[in-house]
Amino acid sequence: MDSLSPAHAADTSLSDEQLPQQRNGLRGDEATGTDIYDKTRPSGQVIGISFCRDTPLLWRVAELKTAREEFGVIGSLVGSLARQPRQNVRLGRPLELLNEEAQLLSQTGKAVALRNVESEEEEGNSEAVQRYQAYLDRNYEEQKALALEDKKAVLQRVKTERHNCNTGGEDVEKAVQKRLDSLDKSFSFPRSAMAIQLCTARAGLSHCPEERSFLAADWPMPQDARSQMRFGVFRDLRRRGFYLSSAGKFGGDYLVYPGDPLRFHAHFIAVCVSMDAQMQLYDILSIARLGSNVKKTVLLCSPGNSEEEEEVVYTSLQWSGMA
Amino acid sequence: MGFSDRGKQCLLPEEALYLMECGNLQVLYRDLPLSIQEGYELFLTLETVSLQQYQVFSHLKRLGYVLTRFDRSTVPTQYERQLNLTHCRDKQGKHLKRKRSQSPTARYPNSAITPSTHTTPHFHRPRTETPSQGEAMESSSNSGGTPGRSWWIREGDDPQPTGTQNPDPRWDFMTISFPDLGSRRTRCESLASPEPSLLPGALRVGSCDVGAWLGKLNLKQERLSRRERERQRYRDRYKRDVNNDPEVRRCRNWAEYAELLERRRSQRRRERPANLWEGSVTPLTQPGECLSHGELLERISVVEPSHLFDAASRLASSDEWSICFNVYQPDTVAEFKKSDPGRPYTRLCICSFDGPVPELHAIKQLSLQSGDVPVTFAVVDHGDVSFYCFKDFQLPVDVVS
Repeated sequence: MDSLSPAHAADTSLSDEQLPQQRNGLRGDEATGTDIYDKTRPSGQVIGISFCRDTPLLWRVAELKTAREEFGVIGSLVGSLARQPRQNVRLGRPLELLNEEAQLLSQTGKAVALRNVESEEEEGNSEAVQRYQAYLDRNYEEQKALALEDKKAVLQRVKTERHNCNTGGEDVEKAVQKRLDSLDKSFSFPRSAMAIQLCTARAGLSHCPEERSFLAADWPMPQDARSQMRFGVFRDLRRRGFYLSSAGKFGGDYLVYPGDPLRFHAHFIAVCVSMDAQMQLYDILSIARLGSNVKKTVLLCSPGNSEEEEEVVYTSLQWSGMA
Repeated sequence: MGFSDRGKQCLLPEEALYLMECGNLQVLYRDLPLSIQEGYELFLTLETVSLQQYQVFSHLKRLGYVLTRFDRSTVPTQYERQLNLTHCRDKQGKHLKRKRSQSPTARYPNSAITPSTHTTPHFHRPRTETPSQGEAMESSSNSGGTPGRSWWIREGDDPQPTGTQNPDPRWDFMTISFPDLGSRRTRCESLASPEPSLLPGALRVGSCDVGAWLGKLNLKQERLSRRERERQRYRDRYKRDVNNDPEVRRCRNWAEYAELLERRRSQRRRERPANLWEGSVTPLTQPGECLSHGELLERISVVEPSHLFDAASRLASSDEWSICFNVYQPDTVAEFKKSDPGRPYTRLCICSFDGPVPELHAIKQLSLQSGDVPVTFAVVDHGDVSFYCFKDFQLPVDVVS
């Protein structure tokens, strides 16, 4: 079995920096966020949203950055972290988006839905295979040279240590020297020991804009009244500068953060209710009780009924404190 | 992880994708390596597992749990559990042991049964039953053609003597005296000949001398230990033997006994006021029937407590909810064997916050499917997994019984 290096990289030009993951919920280290982004980000980038069945996913680091910085779209990382796969505290790409987040991105015109390309023609494939084999050969040669240098360095170090110790290890030193000399001829680097790279994002297509437009698909998400209402609330809160993430655990629709979730605790739990929906008193009481338990304010968010007026009415629920 | 099929080692899609994400596996598709993005798109389809199922799978996998796909047929049915049958795990056509051999004879060691045996597949189980049970099954399947033989009959049993089936109604045992040889009072050395009317046909029996035989008889008086005496005293005092009742003794057959019971019942009824005991509503308990408060409370409880399993087997099955994975705890990983996985820690049903909450119907059904292993509901919320389970709750009873 080949020994694989766990380096995921979309392509070499992108830095393989992983975004620290912010999970839903209350975490003590929320406020320790440091600015991990460089300011020289590529602007004008079009974000490609790929779909795993119905779930929108982002795969490229640059796109993750753009979405977070320019559009305040947080999403949640769901993949294994390449260098530390066996833990759940910090996860890696892909970034799963809420349907509303994907919709918001697409409305800005800076994002397109990509359809899953099945397969190219056979000739193209054989050419790609040849390219890949050539790449592997090249890579093998490079790794072989590096491994040889590595080994030499180790032997050299052993030799100098022996020399410094000066404890009568003359013959040992000589043996090491001899091995060092013959290393160039005798060194073997088996092909199976080669490290190979596993790509996180798909290579090839979908980088340049022309191919993007070729791949762009219709928006695959169905729209019903409930998702429209949720989107209305999401867009309005986002426009007011809040950051949002899903709040399934809190029994609401969104957790609302006053700033980037890396820096802030959520202040509100948003529950989307249609303007003319009847609500059971039980439900209101239970979410109010829950909100006060987790020290958050529950917001009942109802988008206005008129189509042109995109007003959302917010009602908060709190214990009045009167006995 | 993985299984072997026709000598090849295979991985399930979710396992392959998880290993790819961990950087332990490179998947080549048409001679080109798959990226993880392509893995998500190719492996998580309608026919395999959904993204949510995979998220739960990888979440637990990263924490070290062992997950296998749930297969309904591996769970022993309730009937099998009642019989305490060890369940037949390796079925025909599916063997879990890793084997590289391609030869078809070696593939299914279990199918090496000669076709002449007429055991139906139902009886085809590993030979773990006790031999007698196995024999009974064999004989029952063999004797399927002969209608006269009963299911449980065994060759070794001597048949029931049919002569005693119909005792002569003239025989009244109250009047027939049997000699009491052990009694000290009537020391008789010889037995008189029995009454000729009781003997069949032309049989003649003379008097019998039992003197020699009496010498061998143990005639010592029975001595009870103190404990036994106490027990006897208790029995005499508190327990009423129905045979000691003179009225019952006077009954000659069942009809008379039934008549006596009826007579007593009507007498008892006369003692009770009709407005309480003979209306359409009667008391739930009889006087003197309950000995403790707890028993009384249990007797008068109108609504019976119900358990998760009750009546679940009668529910119609639906496909809306299904169990996906068996979960084994991380500390069992060292001795975990795919061929003998043992009892899972829990089983997972995967749902989403967007979807509905399972109805009681579904919960009952899933817990029945899962048998004695609890079912956990893994709820996925955009990459965030939370686990919930429904449990029977026994309300506390304050009265000590």
